[in-house]
Order: sequence, then C-alpha cells, then structure tokens
Amino acid sequence: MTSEREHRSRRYNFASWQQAGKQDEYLFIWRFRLSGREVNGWVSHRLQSVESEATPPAIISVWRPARESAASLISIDIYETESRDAARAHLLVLLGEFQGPPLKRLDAPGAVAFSPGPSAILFARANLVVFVRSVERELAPVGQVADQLDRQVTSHPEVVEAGGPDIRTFRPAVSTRLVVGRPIPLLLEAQDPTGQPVYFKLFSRSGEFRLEQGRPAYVPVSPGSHEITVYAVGASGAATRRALSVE
Amino acid sequence: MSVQLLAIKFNHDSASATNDGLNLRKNGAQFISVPEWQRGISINPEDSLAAYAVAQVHGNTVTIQAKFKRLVPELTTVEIRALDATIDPPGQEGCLGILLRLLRALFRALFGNVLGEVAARQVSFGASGETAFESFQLINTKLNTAFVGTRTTSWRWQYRTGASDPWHDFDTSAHRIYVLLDMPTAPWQQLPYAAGNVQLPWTEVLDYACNWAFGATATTDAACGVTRSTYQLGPSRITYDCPGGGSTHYASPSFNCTAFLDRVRGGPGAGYYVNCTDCATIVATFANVLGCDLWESRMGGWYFDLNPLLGIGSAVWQTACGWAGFSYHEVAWTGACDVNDRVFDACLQVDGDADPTSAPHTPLLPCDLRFGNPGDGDYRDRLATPAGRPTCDPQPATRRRRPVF
Repeated sequence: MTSEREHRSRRYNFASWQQAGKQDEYLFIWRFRLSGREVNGWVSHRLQSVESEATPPAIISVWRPARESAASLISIDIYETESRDAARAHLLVLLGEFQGPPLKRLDAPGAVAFSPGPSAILFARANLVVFVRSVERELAPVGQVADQLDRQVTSHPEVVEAGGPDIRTFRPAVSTRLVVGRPIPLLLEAQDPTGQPVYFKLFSRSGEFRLEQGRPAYVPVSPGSHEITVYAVGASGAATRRALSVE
Repeated sequence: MSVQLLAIKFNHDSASATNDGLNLRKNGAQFISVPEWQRGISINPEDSLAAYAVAQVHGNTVTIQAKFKRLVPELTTVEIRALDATIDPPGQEGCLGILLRLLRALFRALFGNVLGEVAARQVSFGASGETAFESFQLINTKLNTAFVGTRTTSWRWQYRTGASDPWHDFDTSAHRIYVLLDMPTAPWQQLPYAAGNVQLPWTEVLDYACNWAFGATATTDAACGVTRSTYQLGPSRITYDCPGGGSTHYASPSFNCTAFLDRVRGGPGAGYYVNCTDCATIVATFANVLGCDLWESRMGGWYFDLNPLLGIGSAVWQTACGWAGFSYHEVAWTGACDVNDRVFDACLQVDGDADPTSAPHTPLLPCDLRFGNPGDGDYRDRLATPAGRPTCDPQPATRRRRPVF
C-alpha cells in the first residue's frame, strides 16, 4: 500500500529536487530571528516563535502594510531545519497540507519553490523553509515579498564597526584533521550589546553545514584548505563577521 | 464597617476539581493566580474568574477559602456568611423586603448564583488583625443541575458577633463563573499547575466556548454548539482558503489560538482564510475545554472527488472552491476517528437530502454525524461522490490534538 508520504513524493516529483546538490556557496542559518523590519513597506503585527516536537522550530508572523489598507495582510512563516536536505523534506510535508490541487513549481525564489497561485509562495533556501501568503481580502504582492526575503536570507550582511554582536567563540569543538564528508562540530557564541538574542549566518565555498546535537557542524565536500565565514546578526540588524580556516 | 473581605480562593486545591475550581490561565501569556478575588484589585466580575466542571463537583460539597481583616480591635471571633446578592440585595425592608423573602425560592431558582451562598462559620482574627484563609462551604449551589454557560455570582458578605446578634453587611464581591460539563480534555491540561504551562484552560477561550455551547447539558450538544458557531464565523470573520489552495493558517504546527481569538474579536489574527485543519482544530479545542472528547483527524490519503457543498464563508453550492476534490479532509471526530465514530465538521455544510450528489440541496452542518461506509448515507456519502467514497477513508493514524499557543 502506498503511504501518504510516497504519494506526496510522486505528486511533487520529490526525487527531482530532494537532494540539495553542489553549489558555489553554501549557507546555513542558525537560530534565525525576524526583527519585523525585513520587508519594505510592511511592518510586523505579530511575531511568534513556535517550538513543537512534530516540526522544526518556526517563526510565525503576520505583517500589515506600513501605509493604510487594513484589507491587506501577509503572513510569513519560517521553519529552521537541521540541513538543506531537511528543509526540502519539510517543504514536501508542507506541500501535503494543501487540500486543493497540486501546487505549481516555480524557478524562484529560493532553491526550490512552489505556489498555488498569486496569493502564496512556499520555498526552501539553505536550511530554511519560507511560506509567504496574502491572508486578507485584498491581494498582497507575495511574490515581491518572497523575493525580498530570499535576498535577505542569502545576502552577506553589512558589517558594522561598533554596536554589533560580539562573536566570542568561533572554532571547531574538537581539534581534528579535515576529512571530506566527516562533520566538524563548531563552537559558536556571540553576545549582542543589547542583551537580545543573536542569529548566525554561516557561509563556505567548500563545505556544507548541518545541525548536530544542537550545534552547527561543517561538512567538507572537497579536500584542501577551507574557510568558513560567520555573521552574527543582532536584534537591530547590526552584524559582525569572523572567519575560520580549517585544514 | 468592622470587618473587611481581603481575598477569596476558588481554586484552593490545584490537585483536584471535585470540591473547588479548575486550574486556569487567562490566555497564552497570562496566568490566573490564586486568590482569584483580591481587595482593591477585583472590582468587576471579570476581575475574579473561576471555572467548575459539573461532572466533577456533582454531589460534592464545594468550598471556597476566604480571608478577612478586622477594623476594630475588640473583635476577636465573628461568624461570617455571604448571601446571594441577586436574590438578597441589601437594604430591602418593609413590604418589599417581605415580598422578596417570600419570592426568594422562586428567584433563587430563576436568577440565583450558580455558586449559591456561603454557609456561615466562625472565624478568629490573629494578632495581625487578619484571619487565615478559612474554608467555607457553599450552599444552595446550582452546580448539580447547571448547564454550560458563563454566570456572574454576587455575594453579600455579612458578619455577626453572637448567635443571637443581627447580621451586619460588610462587603460585596462579584465573580465570573464558567460552568463546564466535565474536566477539559487535551490539548488542555490541569497539571503541571504552573505559570509556564500554556495548556491550562484559557478563560479567553471559555468566554467563547461557553457562549457557543450555552445551555448544553451533554457533550454532544456542546460540541454541536461549538461546530455551529465556528461555521457561522464565516463570511464575516473567516472564510475558506480558496485563493491559497486550502492550506492551514491557524493550526500548523500547533494551534495559534492567540491569533484566532484576535481574529474572532475583529483583529487581524492570522488573516481571513482557514482550511479544514483549522476548523477541525478550533472545534476540538473549544469543545474539549468544556469537557468534550474530540480529536482532529483526517480522511482520504491523497485525493477524492467531492459532492457540491457549502464551504465556510460561501453561499454557493459547489465543490470546494470549484476544485473537483480534496487531497485530504480533516474534521473533529470522536473515539477512534473511524467509520463508526461521529464527525463534527465546521468547515462545510453537506447536502442533507436523499441525493447529496445533485440539486436541490438541503444544507446540513455535519454535527454528531456517523462517518459511515460507502452507501450508508452517512457523512462520507454526503461529502464524497460515489466514485470518491472508497478513497475517502478514515485515517485514524492522523488523530491528534494540537497544543495551543
């Protein structure tokens, strides 16, 4: 008997986008947060962090236009998974939550994107799954909002000289030789001057990331010298950067 | 006035609800601490909230605990009681007072406090001039026969110094009392009784649930009331998510009850749109807080064709949003959520006549409807076309109760 997941996989041709594949630059987001200022022309009405055993941690948010029009409202739900592959698996789960006809695959935003029509877009980027919807009677431009969010997720933040988070620790958890495919757990800690929580963006051109035992781990995909860059982003959006070489 | 009421505890035993009130919180952010009534803080009934589960307190003596202060040092021991302020208002003397006393029994039956009156007992003031929290029995309560609802209990507090002395009024208090059928079931919890437990019953949910199920004396009636009222939120507050392909807006991964309450009150909530998962979750959560025992569960594994129906918020008979079918459907469901169990579906009305596949249509809100096998004429036949019925199977493995946040 075909399981619901198998049926869903076939319905959305999951095999064709299940594996993340090689890319120029790898990105991993850890402890992601929304400040409420990420989307031009929109202000957050409600931001809620949701922890659930059944699903990855999520930020559930509702945004209203900065100018008037109460009839327009968007929701942005962001799920933070343990890896790029886990994000795609969760994207498939969310696709199964639509009662209507199958969603159409889009080229953008994100690495993989689907849409049921002009009022909603669901995409995976790095280890995040982002779901943007128009949720009031007046249709909101979810495509623009989704593009904007995707650019924010993938961009290297502008670094500030002062007032940004202090990256106190950024190093391998154990002293080890680099072996392709073997995860290197990372110790990463930063403090925002305001005391507010900080989130991290990790970039590398030569290795993947994934969460292992609650902390980011680096997985080299090629031999040689590797550089990992981390940005710590504070509540105000101010960011600081550190680089780490691994051999 | 020589005595003051300082505080009242309704929920004085957090481990039990057989003789006192339930463990409650106001909403996802605010805990209700005990004592629920405090002098200078509790002014209106809504400032003093308590809930009782009829099936738990039935036949038992319900008690409260109250604390008092003397204003004159001569008082060491007094007898204290509280009358029903609705049927024994202060200051009624003469003919009117006599008439009122004659009619008291009738008034009590019609208008009296659901928590009745506070039986008299002696209390002693300590060196501080205050009593301890003293336990008082409630008499003439209506909890044994009460139906679901929100009531105001008003008490007129009196004291006297000796058994033959006259009673003196010294305070009044008013309380909002929620009457539930039984202990709330999951996702609601009674333990751990801690401010951090968001799954304690929310009084902001009870405000709606008690209204939607007002008058119910059985769980089926209560669940039907909740189902009907949820469906009637469309189209003014919510409507089916046709533009977005029918995805959940309030129930993934857990039930965003905070946003839903905001929406019901006229705020933005999480928007205008809902799907079947949202409706199933709303019905089960709001019915279960009253003591019902519903689940959220799915039918159909991947796809089934639909008969014409009236989706929530719509006045047009058609398959949902004009789609031929559903990839799945979710409802509030009893028991094992299987063929012989009962369905409560606030997401749509089916055709209730002999031929649900075509016009004319007779709207039927599925409430306490058996799910059924194909050909039984039950919920499954009314929802799905003859061709769709075999794949519109119950999926009891999906049975769950989403936590609230």
